[in-house]
Parts: sequence; structure tokens; C-alpha cells
Amino acid sequence: MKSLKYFLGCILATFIVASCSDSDFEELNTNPNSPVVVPSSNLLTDAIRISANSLYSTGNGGDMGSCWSQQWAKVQYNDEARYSPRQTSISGIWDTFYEILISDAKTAQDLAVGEENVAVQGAALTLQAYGYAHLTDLFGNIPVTQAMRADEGIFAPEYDAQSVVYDSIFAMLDRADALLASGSGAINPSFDILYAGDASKWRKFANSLKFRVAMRMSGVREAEAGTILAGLMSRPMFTSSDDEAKLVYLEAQPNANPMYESIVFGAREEYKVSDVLVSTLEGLGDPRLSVYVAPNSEGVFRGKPAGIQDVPSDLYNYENVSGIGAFYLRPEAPAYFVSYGELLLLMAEAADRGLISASAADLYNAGVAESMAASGVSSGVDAYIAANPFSSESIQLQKWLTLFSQGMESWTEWRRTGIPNLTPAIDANPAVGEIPSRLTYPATEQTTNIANYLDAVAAQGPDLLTTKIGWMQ
Amino acid sequence: MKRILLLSFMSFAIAFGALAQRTVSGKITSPEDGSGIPGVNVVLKGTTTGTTSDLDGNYRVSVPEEGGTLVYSFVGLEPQDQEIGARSVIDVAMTSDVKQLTEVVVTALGIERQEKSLTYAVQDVKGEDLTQARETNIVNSLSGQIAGVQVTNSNGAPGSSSRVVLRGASSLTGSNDPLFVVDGVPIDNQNFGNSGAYGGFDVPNGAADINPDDIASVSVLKGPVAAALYGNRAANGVILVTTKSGKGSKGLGVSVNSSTMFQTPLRTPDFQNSYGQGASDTYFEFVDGSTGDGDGVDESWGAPLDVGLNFIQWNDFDKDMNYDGTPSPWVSYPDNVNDFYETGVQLSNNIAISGGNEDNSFRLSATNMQQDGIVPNTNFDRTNITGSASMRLVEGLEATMSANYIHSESDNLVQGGYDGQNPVQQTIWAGRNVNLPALADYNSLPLSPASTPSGGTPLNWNTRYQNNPYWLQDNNLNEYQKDRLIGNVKLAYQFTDWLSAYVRTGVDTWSSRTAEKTAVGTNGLTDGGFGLQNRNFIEANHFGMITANKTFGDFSVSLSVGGNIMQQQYTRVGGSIPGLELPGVYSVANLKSGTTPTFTNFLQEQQINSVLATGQVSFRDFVFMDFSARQETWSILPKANNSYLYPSVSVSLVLTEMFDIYSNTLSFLKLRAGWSEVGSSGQLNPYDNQQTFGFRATPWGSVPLSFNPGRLNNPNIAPETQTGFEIGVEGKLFNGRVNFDVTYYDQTSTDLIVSVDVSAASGFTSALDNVGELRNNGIEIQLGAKIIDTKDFKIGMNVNFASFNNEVIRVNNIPDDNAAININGGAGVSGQWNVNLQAQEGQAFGTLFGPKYLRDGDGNIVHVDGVPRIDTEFGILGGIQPDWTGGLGFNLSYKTLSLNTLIDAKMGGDIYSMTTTWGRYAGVLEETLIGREVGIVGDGTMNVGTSDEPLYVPNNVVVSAERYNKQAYSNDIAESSVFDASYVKLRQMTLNYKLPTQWFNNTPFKDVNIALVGRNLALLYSKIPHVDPESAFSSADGDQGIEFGQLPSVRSYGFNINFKL
Repeated sequence: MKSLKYFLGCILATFIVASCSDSDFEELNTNPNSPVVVPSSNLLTDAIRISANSLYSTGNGGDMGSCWSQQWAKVQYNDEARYSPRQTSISGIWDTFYEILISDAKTAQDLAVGEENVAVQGAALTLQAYGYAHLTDLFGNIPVTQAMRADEGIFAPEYDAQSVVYDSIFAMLDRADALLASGSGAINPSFDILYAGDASKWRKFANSLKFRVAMRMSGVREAEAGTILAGLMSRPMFTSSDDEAKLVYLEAQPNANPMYESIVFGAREEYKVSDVLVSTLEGLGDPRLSVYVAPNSEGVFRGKPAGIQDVPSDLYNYENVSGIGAFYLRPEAPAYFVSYGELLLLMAEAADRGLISASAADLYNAGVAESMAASGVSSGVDAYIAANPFSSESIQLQKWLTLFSQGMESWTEWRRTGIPNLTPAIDANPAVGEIPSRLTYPATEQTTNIANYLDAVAAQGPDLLTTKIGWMQ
Repeated sequence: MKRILLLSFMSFAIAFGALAQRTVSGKITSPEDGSGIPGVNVVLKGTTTGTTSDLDGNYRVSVPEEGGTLVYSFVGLEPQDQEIGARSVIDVAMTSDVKQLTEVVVTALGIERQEKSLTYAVQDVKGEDLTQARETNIVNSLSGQIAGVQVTNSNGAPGSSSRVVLRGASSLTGSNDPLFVVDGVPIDNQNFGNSGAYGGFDVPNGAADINPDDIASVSVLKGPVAAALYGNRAANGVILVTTKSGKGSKGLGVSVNSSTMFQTPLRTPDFQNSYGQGASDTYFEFVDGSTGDGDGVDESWGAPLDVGLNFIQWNDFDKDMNYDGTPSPWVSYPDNVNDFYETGVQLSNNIAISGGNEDNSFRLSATNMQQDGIVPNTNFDRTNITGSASMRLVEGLEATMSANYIHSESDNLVQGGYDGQNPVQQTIWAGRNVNLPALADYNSLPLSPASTPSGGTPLNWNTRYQNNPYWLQDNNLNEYQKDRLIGNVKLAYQFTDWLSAYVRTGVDTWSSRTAEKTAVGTNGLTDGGFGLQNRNFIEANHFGMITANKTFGDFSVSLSVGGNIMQQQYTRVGGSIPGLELPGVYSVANLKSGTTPTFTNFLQEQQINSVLATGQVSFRDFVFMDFSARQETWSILPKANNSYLYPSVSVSLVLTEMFDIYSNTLSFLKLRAGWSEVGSSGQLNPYDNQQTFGFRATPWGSVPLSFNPGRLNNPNIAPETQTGFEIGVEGKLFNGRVNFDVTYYDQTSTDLIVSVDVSAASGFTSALDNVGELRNNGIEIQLGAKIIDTKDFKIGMNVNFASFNNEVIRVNNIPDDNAAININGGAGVSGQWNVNLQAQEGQAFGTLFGPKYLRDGDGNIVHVDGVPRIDTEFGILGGIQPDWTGGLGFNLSYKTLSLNTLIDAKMGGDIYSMTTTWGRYAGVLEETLIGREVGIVGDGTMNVGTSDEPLYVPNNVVVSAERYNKQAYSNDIAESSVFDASYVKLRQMTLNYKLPTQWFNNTPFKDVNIALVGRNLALLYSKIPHVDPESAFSSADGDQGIEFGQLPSVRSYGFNINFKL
């Protein structure tokens, strides 16, 4: 009996002592599931994939971009096409580009500094520049100088004027050009889903992107743009479609082209083409018509005017409006960041405006041929160019056609060029009434960054879809 | 009732061995009915010699030859002294002590206390009150029973989860579930279902595994003062479950319970029956359900019904999809949705065997519950096998153990949320001309043409968006299985009459498997798919405590010191494939070629070491003071700062005794007050103080996708802290005929762990920090009255009421910015949903935030072109926090017939009902009839001035009903679908008849009861149309306050029989 008392007493005493200890807690609380360091170039894989998915999601590039540039039209659920975009799509774009693309590219850059891997730093900077360029084209003033500085405790960064954003982008791309030119470092080819580790192509991407960005501001800062563009002529840019920045998707979900996943795989067949697209292609006798546009149930190409509220209707429904051409709904259809065809046509415009010295007509011809090739059209190109020769306006019309299904880019370039002439949606949201000039800031900025948001609105103008952003003024 | 109390109290009784010269025996009885009273302490005065009475009230005690005085005592009864003299038989009649409270209450760590001595609010529910209406989820059965307990049952599906919150939310982003403790061992109450705004399916909350038939009583420790001894897990209060044991049984007893319940939807939407499917108001033609004239439109803005029109419809085709040549009448099916639901059946059978003698006892129980849901092919089965035993090994040394094995499974749990596979969603979009039950015999229907999104599956009224709902229910299955073992072993030793100790190890372990089968041909997922998740959880608690009790003159002191080691491990392994190569083969190996599988796996471990002390000092039985302290060291906290002390102190004064003012009118009056500080880990999981890289679930081909998570973790994170006080007064009037208990509490939660939303431009979308603060205060009132209390006829009433004031004070680092955080997951909802559940500074926890109407200066809705304009800024549309809840119970009994009724109410709080949003958009709801022919002039104003100088005049623009409903009720304007979620429900009603004993004189049956029972019988009051205001996607905090296509809650009714052998 006595021994029992001691036994119980010992258990209790040992136990209470054990209850105070924390000797193995550090090991216990070490995460067995996730790494603290990853190879820098592996972070780029996801950043590229996620941003391409955002650009090509039907909810972003489709509902807004392609419908607002009036290449696509929907026969049902077309609130966005009537200028009532979903708030969640807008905040999704903002979050994806900042928190995933730019942040992960920035983290990759920091890791690459630790790895002393110069090439990855250059690629990572190029992607950051791409992210900022896309965001400022959509929203106008955005944070850049105070962005990505959570480690300094900056969780609500100030917005910068678009001119400052552009200058930052140029600085990033210049540095990327220098880093990628150094020949130092290596990008893991299997992680690099854009260029399979070819730093020279990344360098061409950086410079071609810079060309696009400079063109975009050329209307408001023409002289500076001219200097930049002329300078770029001595740097390597895309010289063939092998160089262009595009993500070629895999054959099946979830790594197939998002437009395929949504429209074909997800059976969202309300995505159709617009009457402007069909009539333009028909007017030009364009061989891309049968590539861009699927015949309707009666075997003819028929588009739908933008933004009719009461659809589907007898006039416009799933049957009698043409869908998007199968070529553009392939699972492996690429997502373009910057295409060679777009670069050629931008260069044609620059040459036409005297910003660079080159033959505008040659560039135009090459651009049209490249656009045809990208759509798998090889015959009849020369005759087509002969019938639709170079002019200042034809460059822009061809660019609009070249950017088919590149939703946000087609809308953005249309905002810059105004070609072709588009009529706003028939049943447009009366509060908007015209084709949007920008996206409104995401609602999350009003809760997380209100003071700077208000400053940005005060500087740029009301936070409306119709407010003109910097290079539109 | 009293007998159960007495039985449970027996576990406290200590038998003392002694040398004896002679024996005294007798029977202790109740003077009211002459029945024996078990468990009465019989002690020889001035010694430690004594015994307790057995089940029949008999006792036998050894006394010295010269006699002495025997003291008979039992809590709740007037103590008696009896001079032994020369007697060898002493029968005693013990009367109840009206000055004492008659009940024993289980408090923290299972310490049983006289209610009188409690210094904080604790409330008990007896097992039979939980089981009488045959509710299968213990959480639901607390509904309306206890002041301040908020219960939300998510929906009427078998196996659905329920949320319980005591006194309001105490954490912003962590769980607000109380801790469930079964027989001293904490058990897991998490809900690992994936149900939410976008589909998935709900699974039972962890505590729902407990079988109500095995529960002896439930004690609810509502506030941190009562629960402080549980330290870090006490912030949300504790629900203590004591299971039945064999203690106090003599010989063998068998009890049997069998119930059969039927379930029907409590409420289905009010549909219009005047207009059918389509976009044209004159014509409809079904071609293939996707491409014909209106058949690809699922909305009901089409041609008028029941006016003699005939159109080609889905049922006009033969097996080969050839049109049969005769268009069908275009008529309404007013009951098409009600007829889709079946009558649910719930069968529950329990048999329990218990037995024992003075030293040993056991109880074995087996229960099987089978449920078929109201949606075709949904079910849920649960089997509980429970055993407990205790054994007195030697004098003073007692070993006890209990084990509860639970097996639950379902062949198919119903899909919820905005998801094409949610059958209720289809009923909201279904054309009003569609006879849904006619789709049931899908094997005789043609297959949808391959060109349609539902191609290859049996024909449906619409193949563009939906599959045949019956085919879907039979082919797309959400399987669930969980096996769980909860058990403990305990060794207790009574060193002396004042010193005792025990050690106990308790384990709660479960493994579960959920599988989602998606058949080839499923609309939107044409390749089908398969997903599988296996989860394993184990928590072990090793506990030891030593307790001393001493009396010094007028003072009694009790002191316990102990320690606990909690070790927990949770692992999850899962895989899913986005397409099936071979239809009908559900294995992740059957991967559709070219697609990429998704795998998840992780391991989480944590440990908490605690030392604790608790004690009570009482003075003359009318001043009681409690204190407790628990020092905790947590593995999940930063090593440098991982140990925290949680204290509490509380006091009560029994005024009736203190000032000797006891009277028949005022039988008892007590004041109490307490203060405590407890902690909580909030949302903090293991490893959350380090920043690591994540991997996307799906690789890019064979390339793993690492990423920098959007949340910035915090190496200096600290636990959340809840500090609070409560004061209360309780009393009994008119010889105990009326009793009341009023409590006021005020609790502040600080250092709340928040993933503070930050601008994504910072590189993160959130940052983990101890920034949140919230405050809860409220009043809880409990009132009981025996209105009529005669031998044969009794009427009793219980009322409870609780008011809630909850204020979110801070959610971030910025003072007074009225910031808000999403509770429904970081970025909140998107797509079809436009409303987020938030914690917003200055508001009660759980605001609904979303798009609202633009209003003019006078608050009128501004119209443009006849339709309401959306305000460009989102706003607060409502909140989920109720103003008050209450319960009203009536018990009537005449002889052995009794009728119990429970009504409960929740007043205040809002819900966003997307059923109204899309039901109006789709034109199926009754209110969409307004203006169908003549159009609608929206109630509000329009601007006839300029935007700079607006001039608002009443809106006079007529628009079509379709245009108005689609604009004013689309998810663009969520405000129009936010409703007051107040309700009053007839929660339960039971009519119980105890059959006369003499009927069974020559049979083995005893105590035969039959009962008619009903639960959730009627919605007596509500302000929301179409749906039950008590609704949620699951028991998770973030799944509250928004609703779409919710499976209706069910009205359950049936009968129950129980008897003993």
C-alpha cells in the first residue's frame, strides 16, 4: 500500500515537471511540409503561369478585354460587355499581378542575388516590369516606388503618377537588358516555361516590352518616347516568332489555355464573336476570317453587336451567332505577353511617325505576314497585303486584328489608337455609357490603402471606368 | 431526475474501511413516495468510518459495540443525526433541504460541485432533455435550452454540421467553437467538410459523433471565468459532456430505445406558376435542351402557362431523341419542387447494459442510427459502441476506463452552394413548366445529344447548364466515412480522508475518408473527375492532479495542483484528378490522359504543456471563493515567448444564509462575481511563425510550382487573450417553486490574431499580426417556475433569454479607420457572389458587406432609365449577430402522461439570400409576377438635373418586369436580397406516456415509455421569404450569413419507445 502511494506520487511529480518543459518544442514546430528556400527560377514558373491565366481567363480578357475591343460578343450573361464589370474580377487582376507575378518575381530576384545568378535577376526584373506595365495600362496611377516593401513595414504603399510608373519600368528593363546581356548565370531550362532557359531571348523580351511601353506613352511624351525607341533599335528585340514572349499551354486542364478550359471544357458557349470583327474581316477579304470565327449553325459567319441586354433572343442566340474559331480555343493555344506581330506593327507605327528610322511599309508588311502566320494562314498573304496596303490607319486596324483574343492588350491598344471606330454597347450601363477607359481600383484598396487611394483619385480623377489614364490624356 | 443526480453523486462517495464490533443496517427512504435513496453518506460521527446506501437505499455499517451517532448526509437533503443506542436496524426518512440547492453541477476538470457553491454561471442539461426529441447532433439539441447559447444548424441534409457559440464570437479569425470535453477529455469538434459558397458538401462537426443516448448530462461553462482552468482553450467556453456509466447500478440492467422519425422540408420557396421557361413570351421549342427556341434558357421569363398553349418540350421525345409529333400542353407544376423532395427517414436504436456492485460497475451501449435524406439518394449512418467500467482495486484505489467507438458513413452527402451539382440550385433555375419528378425514371429517357454540354447523359429539361437531377444524385456521389475512438483510462487514489489524487490519459483519434465522384458527362465537367481525401487526427491528453480538502473551524479549503500534456497530430493525404480515362472507374490512377493530378499532403504537430492549480475557500457555507491558475507552454508559439499564465478568481455570497433572511418567500439568494484571463491560439496553426514557400496543388506538367504565399507570417506572434468579468444573482422563491438566475458578463478579447488585409501592392495580401480587439457583453436570464405542482398534475415553465452586444474594436494597426476583414476566407467570395462576411470596426462581428443601391439625399433609391442604380461604393448591408435569443419551454404532466414544448427565438441578425437574387433573376419566384404584363415603375427617384446639380423627382419610367428584376436583384445589387434573419421556431414537442407498470407485471419489461416527438416543427415567425432564416453552409464561422440553394431544413416527427429489462 505504501509503495503504491510512492508510485503514484512519483508519476505525478515526474508528470508535473514534464508539464513545464519545452525542450523539444523548436523541433516540433519546424515545418515539415514546406521549404524555406527554393531555386530562384522555380518561382518564375508559377508567376508566368498565373499571370498568363489571368490575362487569358474569360472573366478578364474575355468578358472585359475582348468584349470591350468588340472582337468578342456574348449571347448571354453579358453584364461586363455592357460595362458592369465584376468587382471580383478587377480585384483578382490587381492581386494576381501584384501579389503573385510581381511579388514572386521580386522574391526570385532576391533569391537570385543570393545565388549570384545574374540571368535570373534579369528575367525576374523583366517580369516585374511586365506586371507594372499591365497594371498601369489598366488602372492608371498605381504604386510602384513604395510597392513590394512589406519587409520595411510598408503595407499601404503610395500611388505614383503614371509617368513615374513608366520611368520605373524603363529603369527595370534597362537593368534587365544589362543583366541578361552579361552572360552570367543560368535560368533552369525546365522551370523556364517561356524560353527554356535562353537568356538571350529573355533579353529580347525585355527590349520588345520596352518598345511597347514606350509606344504607349508616345502620345503624351513623344520626344522621350522617341529617344527610348531609337535607342532600342540597337538592342536585340524579337526577330522571329521563336523569340516572342508566349506561354504555350499544355494539352489538358488545369494547364490548358483558360479560354479552352472555360469555353470548350467548361461549356460556356455564350462567348461568341462581334459583328465588327466579322464585317471588318469580310470587308478586307481577310483569310483569317475562318480562323478567328466559327460558322454558325447555318454555316455562315455572323457576329453580334456589342452589349444587348435581352439575349439570347430570336435575333442573337447560341445558334445563329458565330462562335470563336476553333484554332483560338485549342488547349495548347498560347498566351501572349508580347507577340512578334504586335512588335512589328508597333515598329511600323514608330517608323511612320518618324520615331525610329526604318521602313514603315516593310514593317507593316512583315507584321501582317507574321499575324497571318500566327493564325496558321500561309497562302494568299501577298495578295492580301497588296489589296490592303500600308497606311497609318491600316497599321492600327491590322494591329487590332493581330491582337485577336489577346483581350486586355486589344482593348488597351484600341484605347490608344481608337481604330477601328467602335460604337458603345447598345444597352450600355447608363452610368458608363461609353467604352471604358480604365478599370476602377479594386474595392480592397479602399479598405487596405484608403488614404493613398484617395490621393490617387484626387490626382487622377474620379475612380470611374470613364476616367482617362495618363497616356490617354 | 433526482435519481440520476443521486447516482452520479455516488461517484463521490467514499467508502471507508474500519474495524467493527457490530453491524447496523437500515433503509434510507424519501418521505414523499417511500422509495429508497441511493448514495447517501452514512458516517459514524467523529470517525472516518462509514458507507453509502445502495441503489435501493439500503445500507449496512459497522459500528463500535458501545454505539455512537450516525450522520446521514446527502447534498440537497437535510442532514440527520441518529443515536445508535442499542438499535441494529435504523430506517431513516430524509427530506429535501429547501435551504440547499438540490443539484450537483459538473464544473471544469469534471469537478462536481454543489450548485450553491458555484461562483460563476454554469448551466446543465440532462441527458433525457437532449434525447427526448431524438435529435442526432448534440449541438442542435442545445438549441433554446440555455441562455446565451447560439446554435445554427446549417441545413436539413443528413449529417449536416451545426455551429454553437457561447456568448458571441471571441475571436475574429480563429474558431469560435467552445471546447467539447467528454468525461474529462477534450475532443475535436472541427468540421473538415469543404462546403462553402461554391459547392462542396458539409460533414458533421466533430462533436456530432457523440451519441446523445450515451449522455448523462451536459454542463455548459459559458464564460472564461467558469472555463479558465482549461487555459488556452477556454476562450469560447467549454461544453462538458458526462456520459452514462454503470455506477450505482445493482445487478444487471438493460435499457432499450427505438425511434423512428420522418422528415419533410420545413420551408420551400414560394414559386410563381404563371409563366414558363424561355426568353420569348410567345414561343418555346425544345430541340435538345440547349440550342432550341428558348430551351437553352433556364430562366422563366417565357410564355404564359395554363392558357391552352402547346409547345414541344423535353418529354416529347422517344428514346432515340425523335420528336413524337405532338407538342405538350404548356402548363404549370406548382408542386414540382416539393415533389422532388422525398420523405426522409431516420431510424435510431439503442441498447445499453449496465451493472455493478459496490466496488465495480460497467456499462455497454450500442446505437445505430440510419438516416435517408429528403434529397434522393442521400443518407447518413452512424454506429456508436461505448463501454465504460470502473473497479475498486483495493480500498481507496479506483480504476476507470471508457471507450467510445464511432463509425459514421454516408454513400452520398448532398452538394451545396452555387454549384451545378447542388440539386437545390437546379430547382431555383428550373422552368416553372418543368415536371421535375418526371425526370426520375431517367433510364427510359433519351440521352442528351452529344453537341450539348450534358451530352451522353440522360435527357434533362435543360442540357446547357444542368444534368438530369436524378441521374446526378445517383452518379455524382460525395462519400464520407469516419472512424473514431474516444477513450480514457484513469487511476484515482484516496490517500487519506482529505488527500486524493488521480492520473488520466485520454485519447481522441479519428480517421476519415471523403471521396467525390464526378461522372463523365457532368455538365461543366464533361470528363468527370475524382477526388479523395484521407485525414488522420489524434490528440492525447495526459493529466494528473492531487487534491486536498481540509476544514479549519468555519473555513473549508480545497486545493488541487496538477499538470497536463496535450499532444496533437493532424495529417492529410489527398489526390484528385480532373478527368477520368475510363468512365465509372473512380481511382486517381484512372487519370484522363494529358491531364494533371493534384496531390495534397501535410503533417501538423503541436504540444501544450500546462501546470495548474485551483482551489476553493468557503466560510460557513455561505461565502465561497474560487481561484485558478494555469501556466501554459505552447509549441506553436515563438520559442522565446511561448509560456503564458491564465488566472481566474471568483466569489459568491449566499445572502439568505449570510444574513439569515431565509423565508418561504425568499428561499435562496446568492450573489456572485468573477474575473478571469484566458488565452486562445485563434487562427494560429503549427509553423505559422515562419515564412515558407508553398507549392501549388497541381504541377505544370512535371514541374513543381513553388510560390511565395500571399500571407506574411510573423515570427513574434503571441496568443490571443480574453479578459472578462461576470456578475450574477440567483435565487429561489416560494419554497423553490420559482427560480431565477441573472448574469451580466463583459469580456474583451485582445491581441486577436488577424491576417491583416494589406494592399497587394505591398507584395502580400495579408500579414499575420496580433492586432484585433473585440468586446462582448450581455445579459443572460434563466427563469423556472412550477406553476402547478400537485401529485398528479404539474405544469412547469422554463424561460431563458440572452442579449448580445458585440463590437469589433480593431482589426488592424490603424486606429479608427473603420477597417474590415473578411471572415469568409482571405479574399472573400467572387463570381456569383458579391457579398462578403466581415469583421468591421465599430460593428458587431459578422457584417455583410456588398453592393448597395445608390440613394439620393433623402434615402430614396435612384433610378436611371427606370432601373435602380448601384452605388459605386460597397457598404454594410447587415450583420449576422442577433440582438437576443431566447427559449421558452413548457412541461405539462398528468400522472404518467407528459407534454413538453420548446419554442426558441433568435431576434435580429441578417442573412444574404441569393435564393432571392437568382430566383428573381430567373423569374421563378412568386414576386416576379408583379408587372409581368404592364411593367414596373420602381419605387424611388430619378435625376432630372445634371450630375453636378442633381434634381431628384419620383421615378416614372416603366420597365419590363424582367429588366427590373434582373437589374434590381442581380448580384450586382446584393442589398435587395439581404433580409432580417429573425425567427421564432417551434423547436420541439414531445408527448410521452409511461405505460402503467401493472401491464407488464408478468413480463420482463419495465419502465415502458412511448412518445410522439417532433423537432423543428414550425417556423412561427420570420421576415425572410422563401428560406429558413437559420441557414449556413457549414458550422464554420465564415460560412454563416449567406445562403444560396440551401437544402431546406427539415421538420422531423415520429415516435419513440423505450423500456428496461
